[in-house]
Amino acid sequence: MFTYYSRLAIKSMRRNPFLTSLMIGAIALGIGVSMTTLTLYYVMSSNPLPFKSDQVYALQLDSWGPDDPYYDDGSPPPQMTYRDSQAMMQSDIPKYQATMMHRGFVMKKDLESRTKHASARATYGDFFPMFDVPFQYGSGWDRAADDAAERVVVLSSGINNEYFGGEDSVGETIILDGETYRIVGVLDDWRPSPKFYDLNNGSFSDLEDVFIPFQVPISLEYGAHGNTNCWKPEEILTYNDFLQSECVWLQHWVQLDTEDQAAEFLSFMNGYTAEQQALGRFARADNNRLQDVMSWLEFREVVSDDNKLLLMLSFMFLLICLLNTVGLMLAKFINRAPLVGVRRALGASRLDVIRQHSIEVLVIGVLGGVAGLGLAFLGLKAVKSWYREYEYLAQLDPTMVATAIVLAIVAALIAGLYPTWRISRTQPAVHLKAQ
Amino acid sequence: MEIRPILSTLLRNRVGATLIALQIALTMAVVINSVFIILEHRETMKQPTGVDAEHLIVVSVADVGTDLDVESIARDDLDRLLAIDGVDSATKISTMPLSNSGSNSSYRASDDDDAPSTAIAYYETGYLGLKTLGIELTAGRWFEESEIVYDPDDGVPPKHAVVTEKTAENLFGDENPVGKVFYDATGNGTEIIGVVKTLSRPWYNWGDFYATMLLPHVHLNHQWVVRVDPARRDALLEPVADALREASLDRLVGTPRTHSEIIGRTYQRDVAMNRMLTVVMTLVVIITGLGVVGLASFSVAQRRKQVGTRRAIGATRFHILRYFLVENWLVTTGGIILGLVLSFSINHFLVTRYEMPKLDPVFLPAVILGLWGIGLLATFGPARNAMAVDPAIATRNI
Repeated sequence: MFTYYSRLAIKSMRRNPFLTSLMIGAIALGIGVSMTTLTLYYVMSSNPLPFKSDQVYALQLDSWGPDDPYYDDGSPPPQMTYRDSQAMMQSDIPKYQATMMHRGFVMKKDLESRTKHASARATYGDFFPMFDVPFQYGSGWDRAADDAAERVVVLSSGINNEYFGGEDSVGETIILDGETYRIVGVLDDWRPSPKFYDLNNGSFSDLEDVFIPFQVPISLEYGAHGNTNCWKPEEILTYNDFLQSECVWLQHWVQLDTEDQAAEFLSFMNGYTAEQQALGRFARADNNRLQDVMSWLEFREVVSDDNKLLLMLSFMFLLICLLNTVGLMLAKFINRAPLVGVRRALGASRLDVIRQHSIEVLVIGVLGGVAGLGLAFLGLKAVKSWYREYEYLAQLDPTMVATAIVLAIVAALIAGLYPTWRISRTQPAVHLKAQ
Repeated sequence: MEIRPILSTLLRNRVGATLIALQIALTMAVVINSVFIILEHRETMKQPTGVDAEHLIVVSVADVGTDLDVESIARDDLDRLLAIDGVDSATKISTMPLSNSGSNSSYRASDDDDAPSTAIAYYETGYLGLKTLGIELTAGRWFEESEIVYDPDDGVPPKHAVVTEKTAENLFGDENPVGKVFYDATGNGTEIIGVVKTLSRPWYNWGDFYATMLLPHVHLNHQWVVRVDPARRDALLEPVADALREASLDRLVGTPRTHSEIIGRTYQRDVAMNRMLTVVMTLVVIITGLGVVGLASFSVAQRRKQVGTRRAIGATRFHILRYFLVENWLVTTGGIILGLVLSFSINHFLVTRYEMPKLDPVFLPAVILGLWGIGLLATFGPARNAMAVDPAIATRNI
């Protein structure tokens, strides 16, 4: 029966190619537009650390001034002061813990080669196991290297390919700002997206070229290339003044495996606040937060309001396309009422009529979905060329392809619901009389 | 006119009319909210920066080494740049308007700790800054060559500043700012020696866009901004970078970019959003138009006999045309009323939920006229087919 109805459906679609292509076109456009924006939204709100995002937390310690909170809604600052992050590093409650900053270095392979700019992350050795960072060669460094500010470096695979042709370069050296660093590890392909651990330089920016121990730039008296925010009018004449100041400029992450650990660490933070209040710092008690990866991304509004609005408008567009399809199907089916009248008179039940037309609707939905996927592909291509930051985002993966097809079929079936019901109510007698 | 018969016909064919009205309403909501956001973005992007962006090339430089003499490096670079044919002027500068990175600090009009403070974003630059950027000086004077401090120590406040009119107003209201002193958070004073008309901040998404000032400081790793003839700008990008590269093998010279390109990157997200919205909006209008054509053709086809009967009992071809056009106009208007309600509810939701600005209804009449136009245009074809119906059809098949 299914093949017979499919044959009928194709025949009926051929009989009125204009209306048919209009219907398929409407569904395809609706799917194309909504899948383009949905893909962007889906990738932007995706989980960059899927297996442990609920065990890894960003620290928010409220060290902000007494006059106004950092955020209007009273939320604590998104970054930490140097002295507070060092105090947090003393705790052994977290399984892994790392404070970090981003800055640029002037890099050379060796003394004779030309310089280039390297974007560097200075952090603790725990960064790598905490974020499940994959290594091609070697590994990160240990706490001893952290404490001694050893000149060791982990290269991204891109830099290793450029300088060492992708070979194992562990034990070799490179030069950063005129100093020699020993390579201890080379990363495998890794591109957390959104770049959750530091959203200051764009939520989807490229991975750093090199990773070095956190105390290295501190010993070189370097600031960060990111956001440095200060509230307190204090005299900052030396680098040490800056380290002891109330300026927040460091990102701080911890891994806490159980909820008990998380609660324990939060009370450690609150205890620290109480201690500091006794020393005349910290205006707000118990306003400290641990935010796991996903709630952190939401808090920092990685998906912008504009994107949410665009998604909403695209789905309204899909709805318009559906209404359109309802109208067109109605027109098409009712045109065919005399034929249905004959079939009914010859013994087809109402259910048969519904089945026959549902299959036609299904065929239209599938065709619309496939065409819509093509349009979404073009749409994403256009979006990529318009906005560089979306370059790595705008990709259709199997989930999105499946979503598109299912969405198209569901959309077509919903659109077909009323016209199919309406045609199934055809009174055979009326049409037989008119023949 | 025959409004009442049209209305009663519409009531008998509620589904078709409802479908069109709903489509019109949703289309209106999409169009109005998109246009509103597009205009908002355009408004933002139209704000002038105060500098002659189309004249400017920006290159970053980084020198590595100890005990470098910043002043002699800067003068050496300047000579090399000015030697290039087509370069009018050049200066080192800490950052550029709308480059998306820069510094901002709080200042007071008096050294009283309780005085209200105001945020000022600042540019540090040399004595050719005014000429190179092409900013308009409206009062006082610009920095003398001797007033520029090379490689100042951290925390040493500048002696002089040139502020924008907006900054002057924020600090001292209507008073003449030239010669006045303002103070930083630790009580160090800086004297205003000149006022420029406008100079925007390096970023546009927060704070007072024109609350900026220029300070006479030059640091080692400040970038170079070079003023050239706009017609030769693109051809001079590489020569400018090459001139800076010649200085030393240990020097890192960034990719030379035009200031227009830098501004374009800053606004890239808004431009991309506007394009996406424009595409969605255009497609919505096309789809709705086609939908109206489809449904109107269907309703004409269904009513051929009715039309024939009317023609047979004396209606002219014009009457028939008018009938379908008026019918569509009524349906469209119903959709528009529904669309107004929908648009404003969506905007209300956006205002409360996302703190977006309130819908400004200036462009509403244009949208309404447009929708009426689309409705009539889309019905015109099918209505003309109805006009052509032969009165004789009425006598057949009854």
